Amino acid sequence: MVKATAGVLVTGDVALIEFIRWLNESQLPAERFIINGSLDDTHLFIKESKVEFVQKKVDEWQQSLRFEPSAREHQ
Amino acid sequence: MAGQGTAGVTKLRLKLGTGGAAPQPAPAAATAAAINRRRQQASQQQQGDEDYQPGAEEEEDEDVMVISSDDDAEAYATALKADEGSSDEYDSDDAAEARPSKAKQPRKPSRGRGAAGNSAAGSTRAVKPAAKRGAGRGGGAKAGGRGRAAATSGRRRQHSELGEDVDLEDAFESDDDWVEGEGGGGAYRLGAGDEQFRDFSGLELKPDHFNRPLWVCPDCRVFLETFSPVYKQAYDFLIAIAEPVSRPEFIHEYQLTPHSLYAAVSIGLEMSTIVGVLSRLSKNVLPPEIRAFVKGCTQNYGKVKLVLQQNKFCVESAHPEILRRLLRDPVIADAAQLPAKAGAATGGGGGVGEVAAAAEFQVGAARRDRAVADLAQMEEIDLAGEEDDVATAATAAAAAAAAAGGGAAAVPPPPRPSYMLDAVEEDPDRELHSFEVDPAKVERVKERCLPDALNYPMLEEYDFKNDSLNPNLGIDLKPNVQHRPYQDKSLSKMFGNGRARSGIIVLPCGAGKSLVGVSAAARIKKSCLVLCTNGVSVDQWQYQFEMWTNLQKNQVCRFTSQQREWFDSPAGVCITTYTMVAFTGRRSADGERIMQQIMSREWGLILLDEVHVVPAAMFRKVLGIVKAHCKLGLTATLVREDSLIGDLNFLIGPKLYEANWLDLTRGGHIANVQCAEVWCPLTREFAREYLRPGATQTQRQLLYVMNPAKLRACQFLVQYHEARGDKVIVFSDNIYALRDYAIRMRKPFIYGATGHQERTRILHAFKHNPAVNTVFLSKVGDNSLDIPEANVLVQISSHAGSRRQEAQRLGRILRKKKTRPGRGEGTAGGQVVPQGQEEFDAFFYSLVTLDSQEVYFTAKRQQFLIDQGYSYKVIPSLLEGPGVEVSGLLLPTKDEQLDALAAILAVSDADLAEEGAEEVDGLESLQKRVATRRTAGDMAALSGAAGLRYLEYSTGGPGGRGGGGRGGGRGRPAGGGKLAKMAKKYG
Repeated sequence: MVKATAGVLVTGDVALIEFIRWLNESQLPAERFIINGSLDDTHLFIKESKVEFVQKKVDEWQQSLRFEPSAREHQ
Repeated sequence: MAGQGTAGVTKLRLKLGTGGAAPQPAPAAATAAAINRRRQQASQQQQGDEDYQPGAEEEEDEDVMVISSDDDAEAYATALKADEGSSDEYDSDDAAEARPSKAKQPRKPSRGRGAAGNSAAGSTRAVKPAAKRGAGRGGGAKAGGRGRAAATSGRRRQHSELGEDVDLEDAFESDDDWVEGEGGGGAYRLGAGDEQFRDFSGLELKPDHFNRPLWVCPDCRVFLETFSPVYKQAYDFLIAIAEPVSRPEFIHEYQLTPHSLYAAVSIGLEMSTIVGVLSRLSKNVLPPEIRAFVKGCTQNYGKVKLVLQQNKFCVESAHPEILRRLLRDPVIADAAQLPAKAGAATGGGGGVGEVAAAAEFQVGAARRDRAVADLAQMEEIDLAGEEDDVATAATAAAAAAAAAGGGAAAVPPPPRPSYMLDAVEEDPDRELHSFEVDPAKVERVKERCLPDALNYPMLEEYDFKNDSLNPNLGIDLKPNVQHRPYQDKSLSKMFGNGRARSGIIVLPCGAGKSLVGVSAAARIKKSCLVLCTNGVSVDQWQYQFEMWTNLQKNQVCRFTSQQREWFDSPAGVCITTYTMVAFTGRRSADGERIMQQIMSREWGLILLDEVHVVPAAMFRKVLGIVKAHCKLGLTATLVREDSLIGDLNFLIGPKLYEANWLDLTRGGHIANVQCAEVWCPLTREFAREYLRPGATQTQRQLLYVMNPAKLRACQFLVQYHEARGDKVIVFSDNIYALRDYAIRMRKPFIYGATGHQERTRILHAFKHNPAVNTVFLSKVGDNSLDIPEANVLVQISSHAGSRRQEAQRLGRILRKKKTRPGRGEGTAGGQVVPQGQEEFDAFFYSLVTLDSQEVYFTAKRQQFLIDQGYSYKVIPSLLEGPGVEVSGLLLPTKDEQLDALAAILAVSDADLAEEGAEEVDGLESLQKRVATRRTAGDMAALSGAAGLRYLEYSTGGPGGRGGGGRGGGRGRPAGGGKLAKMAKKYG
């Protein structure tokens, strides 16, 4: 029987997808959001309700890798 | 998400949904530094990815988009009516100036249209926000001075050279974010997160502003237009009084700080001169704040000098009332040796040839005439102002009624005195007063004069010509030695008044710092002690002395752990390392004897090489041990991530001179380097391990350094450049990676534990053997390693976010190359060496693993060089370009990559820590001693106590010093202590 689930397809590069997987695994089992994680290296199918959460976390993650030279010292 | 400026921005796209929040307001910062940074970011972004997203783009360019419309804004038009004619006139004048820069533009075609435009636009952006503001706010005739002027400037630049850029800006004209922000807020606000934004629209602009090169802001920042005709003079002046913050191609940013003004005063500038010239060069009427600031900083500085002459310490000042005030202090009164109330007052200066001592008493100060120090300097700088005035009159006859020119009569400029000038002119109009101080109490007097006590910081000068106590050294530069202009300039700052001043000279690596040092020694002609960072540079300094001067071999001695030489003549040059002098443990008999010699004599000059390397505590110690009359520090990078160099100002002296890297590059004195950042994506498996919660910091570092994509990129670059006939250095801080890379690629490598002889052998082979074209270096190669042959540098791992290291590494390839025939033709991958460009002498690649901490560190590291005007080209996919031959590269298959991964994971933290410790210890000493003799010394070596002299390479401290057990076959990454520290620091 055909089973259909609504969700969101996430496209990203390898590391980012890996990050979302890791994010998924760090959730409680009930909170996990990946519907299908075995598409390929650059795609994931996740629950729509969690999109915002994922975006937020990804933002935070990327922000943490971003250098903000505003706190430059003038000697 | 879309609001992020960085590389990774555009990765996440959702099929459903909007694809991200609306762009946030730009964090527009009006500093040139910020501009520069974003220029870089923008270029990263633009050429970075195919999935170019307008959202992110807009953010970068928001502050730009208005300009073209702004051009015609009525405020601007009305306000500038008066200037219109002359502005155009200037344009035509400016065309000549602009041409060189225009010619430079095609240099970066590979960046794509947007990026090329960007780099040109970079400089104008500095002023655009203000321009915009001026238009938005002023509205009427009273448009803000700065805004107005900025508009002009923006406009002018656009006319003259921003042709290509116009499209770009048009493209964003429809962005309505700004309109909203403007209309809604009433008060115009740039990005909310922008604390640096300041409103200077109230400044008044001079009518002939377009002839003047400076913007002087009330917050002590100064902007310099490098395309101004008087740029050179203005630069010389500014560098003397202000700290350079950012020096990109078109607009420099400087900051006036108490330190910089102190330095200015110490080279003889006076408050009136500083303010006068500033106001003459400034486009806007000098804000009163600046006047007050300069006055506040300079009124006490430089008024009192401590001069050593005739082997007596004299406190000297042109202002007798200050001396009187000093003498009221009990400590100083106690130390002062006031002459008896008789004619003996001339004791301080009576015998000095150039001094016409008049025995008058002013509170015990011997009064005498003496050449006022800094005639030369002042005239030079007046000249700068003068020329400006002349230029003003010539180009803008209409507007020549200079509002605030400080119109000095045009005096014919005197011939510029060389620093070698021996005869010190006398100045009958000025008098110096002085009293002598008990040598034993000099330190206390100095302390009393510091800002926290009497607040008359003393400048120290050494009247070496009249020092008859210390024997002279017969040292002369060889007649064929020619100084480059900037070397002359820095020396003239040091010897401006015929005496020697202590201080620091900042020149880029490879620009001939050693010659400056050697020349200073040859000028003073006394015994000279040279302190450098390691044994290799000791040898290099010795070579320099022999090459540039007439000194005999036996007059130049080395004092290192290997060589313990001493000169026989009464005076000589001794070259040693900081660690040798500061060493507190037991020394060999020879070493002890030489150390006694060093401590017992008075050195005329102490040369401190690479002053940025050594923390202040070490300096304090060394300077406490060694008695020297004059201290000269040399460095290329006066930055440190810790604040340990803040004290240098007081320990050594003020910064005497700092050269502009870009000017030197243009002048052909240093190599023209292409900096590139190569992106290496993580593979899936590496990414997973990297993100694994249990992964330690060390493991993570190892993972991103050992990323297969990086290895392949590195190998590709090495092969590519070897094929071109280049000499390649690969840098890795991580010793494990260093060994692994080198062994995989079958190249020689040098790290902390490599013995001195082996190092020398490898380096020699690298220099002379055509078969050895690549060498792998750990961070031991960062400083002072002189390998003029190398012209390509690949950096695979680095010490966190250290800006200094980045600059120092760049310095390894900065020395001007002899042009070699038949190179620069080959192109591989289209991206590596774009054809048809201005030829670069040298290449600097930083390999960055995406989505790791390295991204952050890399951005941070680049700041220093970006501030020097370098721009980094981003190569997003090195190996995917057309025509790139990847078949020969290592780790082609997933299996092999997984093997490598397994090997990395198998390296336990304990191993790493132990090996890191061993690195500190210095394997060399261990091997040697064990092999040759069996004495009690073995224990010391094994326990790490003997490794003290290798501390210069250590950053982790002695924390994890293990037994020195040599780990298995696999490598020795940097110490765990360091990483822990790093982790703590950067979160």
